[in-house]
Amino acid sequence: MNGKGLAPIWFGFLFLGVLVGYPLVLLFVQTLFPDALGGRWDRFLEPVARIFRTEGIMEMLINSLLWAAATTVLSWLAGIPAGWLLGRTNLRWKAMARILLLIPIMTPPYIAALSYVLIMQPGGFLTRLTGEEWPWLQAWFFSFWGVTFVMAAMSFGYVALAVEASLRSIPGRLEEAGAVCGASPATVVRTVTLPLLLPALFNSGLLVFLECLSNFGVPAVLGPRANMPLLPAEIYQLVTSWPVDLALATSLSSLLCLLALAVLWLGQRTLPRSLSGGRSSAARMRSLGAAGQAAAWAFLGLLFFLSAGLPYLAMIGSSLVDTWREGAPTWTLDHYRGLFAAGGRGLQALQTSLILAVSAATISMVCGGVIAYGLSRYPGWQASLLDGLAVLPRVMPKIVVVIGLILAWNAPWIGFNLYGTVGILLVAYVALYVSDALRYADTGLRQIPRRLEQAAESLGATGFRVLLDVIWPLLRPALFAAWMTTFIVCVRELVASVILLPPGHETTATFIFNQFEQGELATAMAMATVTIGVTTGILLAVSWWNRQRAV
Amino acid sequence: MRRFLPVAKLLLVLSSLLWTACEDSTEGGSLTVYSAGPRPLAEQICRDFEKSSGIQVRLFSATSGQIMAKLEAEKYRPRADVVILASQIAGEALAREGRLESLPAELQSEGNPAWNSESMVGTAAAAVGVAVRGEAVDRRADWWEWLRAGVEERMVMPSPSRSGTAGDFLLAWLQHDDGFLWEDFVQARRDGLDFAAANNQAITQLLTGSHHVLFAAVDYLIFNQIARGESLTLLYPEPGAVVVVRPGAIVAGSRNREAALQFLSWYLQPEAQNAVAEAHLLPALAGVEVSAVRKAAGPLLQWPYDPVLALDDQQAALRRFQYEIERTRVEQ
Repeated sequence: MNGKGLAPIWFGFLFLGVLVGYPLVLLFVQTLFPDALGGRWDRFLEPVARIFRTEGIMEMLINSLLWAAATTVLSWLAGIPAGWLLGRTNLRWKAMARILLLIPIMTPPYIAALSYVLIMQPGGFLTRLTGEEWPWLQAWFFSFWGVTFVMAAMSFGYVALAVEASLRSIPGRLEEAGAVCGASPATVVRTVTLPLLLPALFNSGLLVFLECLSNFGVPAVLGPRANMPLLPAEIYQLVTSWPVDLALATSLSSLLCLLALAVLWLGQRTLPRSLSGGRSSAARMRSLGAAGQAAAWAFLGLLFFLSAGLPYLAMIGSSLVDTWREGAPTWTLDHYRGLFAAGGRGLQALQTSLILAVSAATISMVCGGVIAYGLSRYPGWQASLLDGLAVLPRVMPKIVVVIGLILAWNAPWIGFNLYGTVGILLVAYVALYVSDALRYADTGLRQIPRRLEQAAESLGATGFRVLLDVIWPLLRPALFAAWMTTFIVCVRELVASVILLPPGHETTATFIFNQFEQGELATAMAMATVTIGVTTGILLAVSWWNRQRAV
Repeated sequence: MRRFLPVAKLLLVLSSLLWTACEDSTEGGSLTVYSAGPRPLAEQICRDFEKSSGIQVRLFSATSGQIMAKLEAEKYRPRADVVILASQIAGEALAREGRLESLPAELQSEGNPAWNSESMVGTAAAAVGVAVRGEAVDRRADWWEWLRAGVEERMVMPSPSRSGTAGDFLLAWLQHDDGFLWEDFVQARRDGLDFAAANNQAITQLLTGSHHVLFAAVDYLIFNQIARGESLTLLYPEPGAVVVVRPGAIVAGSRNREAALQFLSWYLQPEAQNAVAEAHLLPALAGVEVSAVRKAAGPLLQWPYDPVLALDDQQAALRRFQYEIERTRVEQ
């Protein structure tokens, strides 16, 4: 392999180095020398030593790992069958099913958790609708399992989408060959489909796992009742309660990073590096009978009901409440009117969020795609290093990454004013979520047979031409999924937005959060409803546009 | 190449949009204020100050915790000129690290001198009490009695490590009653005292009817709900309410010291203090009428505490509370 071929890798180092590496190096230096940026080089390694003096650190670490693992398994259990139904059967109304699966990912996790609290708490919606208390259900919900359930409900869509995208690109003839050779359908799944699916399963599982390791919203809302000390919550508290202990928070985050890197490394060791499946032929769709269709839709319906239907009922219900008299609500539409009143901040926040999310998703898709191409085509230590670099911001609690971004872009040696403009949020979104886009593109690329490129090259096509005319069309579904998920997570992003937003600007998430802070539950829920509605609309439009062009 | 054209166009449009979004937020000549909530109050005061002084104000409004995080990250290149926090202990933490400018003596004598210190002026205050759904028929005498008996009526408390005011309240109580506080709380927890993440969540639980008593409630948030027509009552048990002063200060290294002083001084004038009172907070200026809802809640006796001492206890106490009380399982 020559140096020229490594161009995507070098691009990746430049891009991720500035965006991710530079702030993280500053954070790391702070772990070693807490006052380094102030020009003092004493107290070497003091924060690291303090990790061991932090009470309950092992408990938190184990809790965090168990929780992340349980959520990942639950997401697999729900997401794999859903992805299979979409990718390998003639399920009716597939486009709708896909949107139904995406809706829960669009929900800000803390809103979903809050909606579930409104339903499940003693005297909540459940009690009021059924007329009785459900002590066993409540005891179950306000525990480890409830927190796991809510988090899995919010994230199994990642798995479903990845499984579907992957199944679509696994050549059906491989499975047919298995069947022709006399293997039973179960054997075909076990020996052919499943191994080919592994990269998708691993990558999407990794997304869910990492999201759990760094997620603060769901445990923050459910945690105090569920008695679950988790590492991200501890870190969040170190950073936001006085006296602020940034150095200890950073060293605890490094612990999370190490864990994540270990998981990533294990995955890379065990996964097939690339698959050459021959010409992609359309997979044969298993046809479902009437009963099969009904069962499939019952399954998807149940998933949708638990992950979106139920919390949305609570959310929309609360947004329509005027006051709670004696615990019983009176209804109004005023909160929606207030959002769109002339000069209202609601509209401005929506606009800012959408512009930022579309930009961040597009940049992440393009750059993530190029980097993933480099990773899958030129494996080696550079690629591993790059992969690790991309995934780091995803596993650290966001508040720590955000602190790193402030340190980096507000440093005395930065001569231009990026921090202090909305632009810093774009930088933050891309830094935080480019790894998602990269994962999707990577999954897709692993299944594009190398020999297609070789064929094009042997016919005299340049590397750029190969990328445009061979890779891009084949990678389209994966990149499309990458764009959609990045767009969604950016719209709902809260922590980075709250702290990085320059004075005078708002995004939808900070708007919701601020309303909630002021006790305006109904306005907050109204904004959440509008945001999710608009996001769904945009996704529908984009997927329609994508289908039009694909034909 | 044709296939990339739409993407390229999109990027072009987006970057120009972003550029315009960045353009309008230039620095220079304006005063940057970081203020804890309530946001409408912070916005109104900044607007009024702009009108009266002609100085442009850039307001960043978030929780005290988020402001502290932002200040910490900007330590080596401060961006804020004025900071208004919802906790005196938080302010004390900044003052101790030398992150606040000292204030001239004239300013220290404005407003409520008892709330002011060398580097901070009290801009307003909130008191911590007990909120009850509906009309409170049975007015229990003191905090200890509420803690013992309130749990029978489903009582919730904001987690002291998540809610700044609940934390300040706990530390104040600790200064008066060290030995028994822990036993009392452990017992209350065993009997079913619930914890909510922060003030607003605790209030939501009260409003939607899942709990009937909110222990360590921030009074102005409750008054806000009462003013909106919710049926709640706020009580200040004996020996009194913990009054959490909301300090305003100038960040060390501010390049707009004159304007910042002007802003703090403005905050203590009748116009701004009236706005404070309308937000149901306690005004710093004597003679400014408190809001009608606050007046109706009756007189307020103060349970004094020393924020400087509280800062020393803070980390150990909150951690102990988390471990020994919040994480104890409720006996069913």
